[in-house]
Amino acid sequence: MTEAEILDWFSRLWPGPLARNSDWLFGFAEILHFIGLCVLFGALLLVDLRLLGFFRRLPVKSVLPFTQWAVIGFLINLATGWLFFTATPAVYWGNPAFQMKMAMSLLAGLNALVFTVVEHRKVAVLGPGEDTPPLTQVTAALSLTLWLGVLVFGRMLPVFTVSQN
Amino acid sequence: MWEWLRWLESTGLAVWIREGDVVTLPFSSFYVLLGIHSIGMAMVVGVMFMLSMRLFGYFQQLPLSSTDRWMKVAWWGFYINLASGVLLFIGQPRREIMTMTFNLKILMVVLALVTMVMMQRALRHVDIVTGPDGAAVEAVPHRARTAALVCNLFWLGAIISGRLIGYTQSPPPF
Repeated sequence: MTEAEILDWFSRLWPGPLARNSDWLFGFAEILHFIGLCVLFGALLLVDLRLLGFFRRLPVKSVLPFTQWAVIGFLINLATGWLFFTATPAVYWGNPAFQMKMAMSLLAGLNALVFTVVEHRKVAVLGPGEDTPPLTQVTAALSLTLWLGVLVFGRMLPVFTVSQN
Repeated sequence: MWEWLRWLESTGLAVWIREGDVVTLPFSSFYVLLGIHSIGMAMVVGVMFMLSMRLFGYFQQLPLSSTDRWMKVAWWGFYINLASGVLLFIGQPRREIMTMTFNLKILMVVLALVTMVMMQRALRHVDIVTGPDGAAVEAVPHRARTAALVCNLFWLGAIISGRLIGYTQSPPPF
């Protein structure tokens, strides 16, 4: 398949045509996307900052439950992101900022998986004043860095597409 | 004042903001500033939203006494946005002032800040009461809860009007 055929296929998936035919849906989805990123990042700040050793007076398990909202924020953005992509796949496909953003999201997801599988249970028992093991600190630092990167590259999408608007 | 704003737009700083780069393309200063602005937004709105949920009874393992310290993160988010926002404004002040959604956004931000301060103040004195199962429980002051709810609405308003600026204005040339 040629690139054009792939993009055409994506553009016909739901909710692409719906978004293209509506004059408000895309904008509405953008606002949801911003909310999702605030939810994701806010939740991760609470978790990762404690894992990195800030707010040490708190037991780790007082913040770990917030990871649930990080997942919710991510899912909101996955859904709205899918809407954007199917609405105008050509705008994103060859866009280097978009490619970086997707790569970093993937790495962030893998990072979260590593933390959940390897470290989560170990650190949930840590109490006030206790430090987290080095791997946890690495995953926490990576988590914040990668999502910051996703945010910044997301903001840079128009730099590479302005000529197509 | 209009003349002063016109002068401001002609300064080297304003020209750099509109047309320059941070080190090199593709990192155009305008978009880097917007990126920093979204980081600040995520910090302040995200932390406020999580703390609001605590105030509404979720995540009760998080001590209410820690909210003051968490609010530092939220305030830093705001300071980052104040700085990046002022710079973005300096790039095209007359245009921003003339854009309705920009003025609306500033109003929303100011109102959000007021409610943030109200919430923080209300949380300074938290009573410990006996919960239904006999355990000691921190009682969430009603004022704090109301302030937090309203604060989230104002931040939502700021996000929406902020996004609408992007729709009513095309970005500066590169």
